[in-house]
Amino acid sequence: MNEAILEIKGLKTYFKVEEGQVPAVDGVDFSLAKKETLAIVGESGSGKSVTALSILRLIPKTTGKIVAGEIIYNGKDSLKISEKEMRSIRGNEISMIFQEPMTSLNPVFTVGKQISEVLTIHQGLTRKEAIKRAIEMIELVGIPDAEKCVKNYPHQLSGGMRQRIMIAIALACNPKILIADEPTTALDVTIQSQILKLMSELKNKLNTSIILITHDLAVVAQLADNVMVMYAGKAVEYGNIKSIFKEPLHPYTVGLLNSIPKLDRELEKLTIIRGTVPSPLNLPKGCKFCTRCDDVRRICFESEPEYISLDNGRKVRCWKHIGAGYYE
Amino acid sequence: MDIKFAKRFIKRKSSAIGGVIILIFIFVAIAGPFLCTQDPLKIDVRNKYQNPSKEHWLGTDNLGRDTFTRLVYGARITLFVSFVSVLVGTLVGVFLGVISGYYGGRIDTIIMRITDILLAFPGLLLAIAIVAILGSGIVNTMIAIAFYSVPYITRIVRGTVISIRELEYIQACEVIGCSNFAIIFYHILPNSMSQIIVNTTLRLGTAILTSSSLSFLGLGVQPPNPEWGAMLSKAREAMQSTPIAALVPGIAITLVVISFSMLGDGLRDALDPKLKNV
Amino acid sequence: MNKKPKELLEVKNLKMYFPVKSEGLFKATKQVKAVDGINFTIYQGETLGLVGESGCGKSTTGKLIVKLLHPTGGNIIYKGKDIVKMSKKEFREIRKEIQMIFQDPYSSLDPRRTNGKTIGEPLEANKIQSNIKERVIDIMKEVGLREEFYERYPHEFSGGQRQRVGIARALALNPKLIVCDEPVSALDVSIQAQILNLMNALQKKYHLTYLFISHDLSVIKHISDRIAVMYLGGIVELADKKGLFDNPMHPYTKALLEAVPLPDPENRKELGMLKGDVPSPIDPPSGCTFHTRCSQCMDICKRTKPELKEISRNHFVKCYLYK
Repeated sequence: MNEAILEIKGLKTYFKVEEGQVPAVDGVDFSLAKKETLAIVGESGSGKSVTALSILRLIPKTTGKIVAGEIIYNGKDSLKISEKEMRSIRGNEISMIFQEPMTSLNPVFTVGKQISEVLTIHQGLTRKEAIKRAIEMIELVGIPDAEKCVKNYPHQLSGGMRQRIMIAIALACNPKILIADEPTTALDVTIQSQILKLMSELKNKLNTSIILITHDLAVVAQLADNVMVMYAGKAVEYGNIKSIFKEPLHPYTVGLLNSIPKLDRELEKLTIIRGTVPSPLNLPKGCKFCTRCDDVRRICFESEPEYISLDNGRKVRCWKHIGAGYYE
Repeated sequence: MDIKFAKRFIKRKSSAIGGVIILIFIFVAIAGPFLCTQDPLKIDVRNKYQNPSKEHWLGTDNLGRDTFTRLVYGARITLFVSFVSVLVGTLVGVFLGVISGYYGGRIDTIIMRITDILLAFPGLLLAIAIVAILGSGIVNTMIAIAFYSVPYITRIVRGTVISIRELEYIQACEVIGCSNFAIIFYHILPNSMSQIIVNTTLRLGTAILTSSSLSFLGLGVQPPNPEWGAMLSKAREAMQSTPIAALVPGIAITLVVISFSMLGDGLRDALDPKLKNV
Repeated sequence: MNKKPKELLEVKNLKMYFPVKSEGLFKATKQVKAVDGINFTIYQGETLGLVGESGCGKSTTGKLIVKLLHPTGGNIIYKGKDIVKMSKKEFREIRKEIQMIFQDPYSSLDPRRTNGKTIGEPLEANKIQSNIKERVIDIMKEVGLREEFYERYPHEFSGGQRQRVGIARALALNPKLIVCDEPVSALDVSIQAQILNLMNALQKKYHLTYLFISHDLSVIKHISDRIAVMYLGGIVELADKKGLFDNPMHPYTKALLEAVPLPDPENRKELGMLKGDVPSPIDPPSGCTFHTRCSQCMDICKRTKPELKEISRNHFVKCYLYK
């Protein structure tokens, strides 16, 4: 369980816009072990989706560029391998599912064709064999009447079913890593529950590691083993799920946990994080959270804290906790 | 917001060049005649089809009239004909497009079916048919051009109006009690403006081409008016001996039409927020 | 306060059917039964939460109440008068009292108008000409927008700030009832909290009544006094907040509450209890619309539609399991 199958070191992905340069991901480190579910949490603009796209080298070349970092997979830096080699990894060893199943599925092909496509490309199956396996996958993701469903087009299926098909496509080649970018955000809560159950069962059945990207802390609590919190392109906290929820260290994490309206707690007034996320073109000089932090000190405005490791496997980027740990 | 737009616009070289040429064209049309020393209508048959000389910078035409002067005066006619007719066509088209798109229902069906029928005819053919009915001359040319511009503009405006009409801010206007008139004038039209401007600019190029074609065929602006298409048509007979007489109006037409196209393209790209970072 | 609460709005047997494109000349036109006979009352000063998943008809209900849509059947009684039957002219005065806050902060404001103009537009549209700018600036302060934002455009602001502009616009005419259609769904979690707190404060200050529509149970629980749960065009349960959460009765309500994940890794729930998908509103199931997914379905549920009955004090359920 503890062997790392993916290691990200110092990842930086920048985008060019009219007004300047946006450091969407600005120095992110983390690793993913076998059978681990890692959640990357943050709000819009935190850089979590860009991190996922960077792992698969899916950043649009016209506007973005991975300017620094290493992504060690299978003993090689996947940022340095050829595009051909990368293609053999995508969909095969590292897969991804997205938020909007309607726009992620091709509307002019049957779902059977879309599942079998991955199989014919990566595993060299014949069309007949691939369709057979596609039917198996459709059953695996819990859709009844798989033989009928394989001939359906995306628009004939409900949102929940489309998301199951996306999962089927992603898992068809039994990848080692599944990246799920907000997989349940667009779904109704009862369907979300079904999909989370499905993901949970499949990850155990197929021994897949999952990188779960979301802003929804409740989903994280249900599914993840470890959590990395991102803010303004940087990782600000990391830890085991139970300890993060019990004892959040970074003020941003604290604020996030306190601002969720909870079903089981009555709060007269929700505690909020004051201010708004700074524009990526105009980030503060020191710690990027300094303008909104209730625990801020003078040093926070002047220089950015390092991402330090603490004893219990926790990591945090905050001047408040710098004394307590050692520097990486 | 407008500075960003100007920057985006200039970034595309073709549209900037197009814009500059159009400005020169407009300047020539307005100020040119005051700077010309010669009379565009002065006939001097002994000097017909002369090559460029110190006296006649671009030579003379079939009746010895100075080509350069006629070019300059012709710019005015071309400008007048195309701008006025497209303006009229746009006003009518916007009106019909807004009614059709905003109210929908039966009136939409009627307007769209008529538009479809008109669009089925090639533009030039339609213009010729109208001029044949009404007779030739400047005014009828403008009517013809305005008439066939209407269906294009109507269709585009209707599409824009329909897409805006469903947006939440329009619903919000209804809830706060805005009248239909207010919604159309203060919200739908301003948000359709960029589409309208782009398409109007593109139509200007087509209009110039049509007016030149009609004059070329003898149906549009009549002699002795120095219309570029008519000049081109007449100068065909001297292609062997004095090609410049035909080249001058021909190149002028081509240049102006292409410039309007580039200008329209540039405007559309500059105004379309989705293309911002390309 | 033991006074009987005053009724502000009553909805009786409200129906909204949308025609679907017919498949052929001779086939009957199908209909989407978006809202299929609902009844509820909103009392002055309260927040009635309307919760349900996609396709349940909650947004359509909101639009019917502000008269963005004309109902296929039923009555909407505001302060004793049926607004469905009113002409546009008659409704003009009442319109000022019923306003709406929209969901999408990015498309609910005209990008070509400044914030000041947008907030002032309700006053202009209703010919209230005097001191518009002053009034707008007052409202802006109430919703937490600085005065200099008057001249600025929506695209210069974040989702949360734009939503404040939307709220300010809804307040401009001093309404009595505000229909809030998923007002925080498109916002980040930390901003949601800010906006919900603001709405709470405004309600207390101006004695507003809210019809709060959302799919998010946690948000609904935070802001509502009473809650109506909708499924496939009908209300299946209606109770006050404590009653609904402490003692959910309808199987769908129970499934809904069960499905909401809690941000508590120590207590992981069992997931995926409610199986299957929502049936199509074009062809809803016979009898009780929920029977196809109900674990406690009985014969009668398949045949006849149950009625919404008061089972315990102020707790209404539409289900044969309860007498």
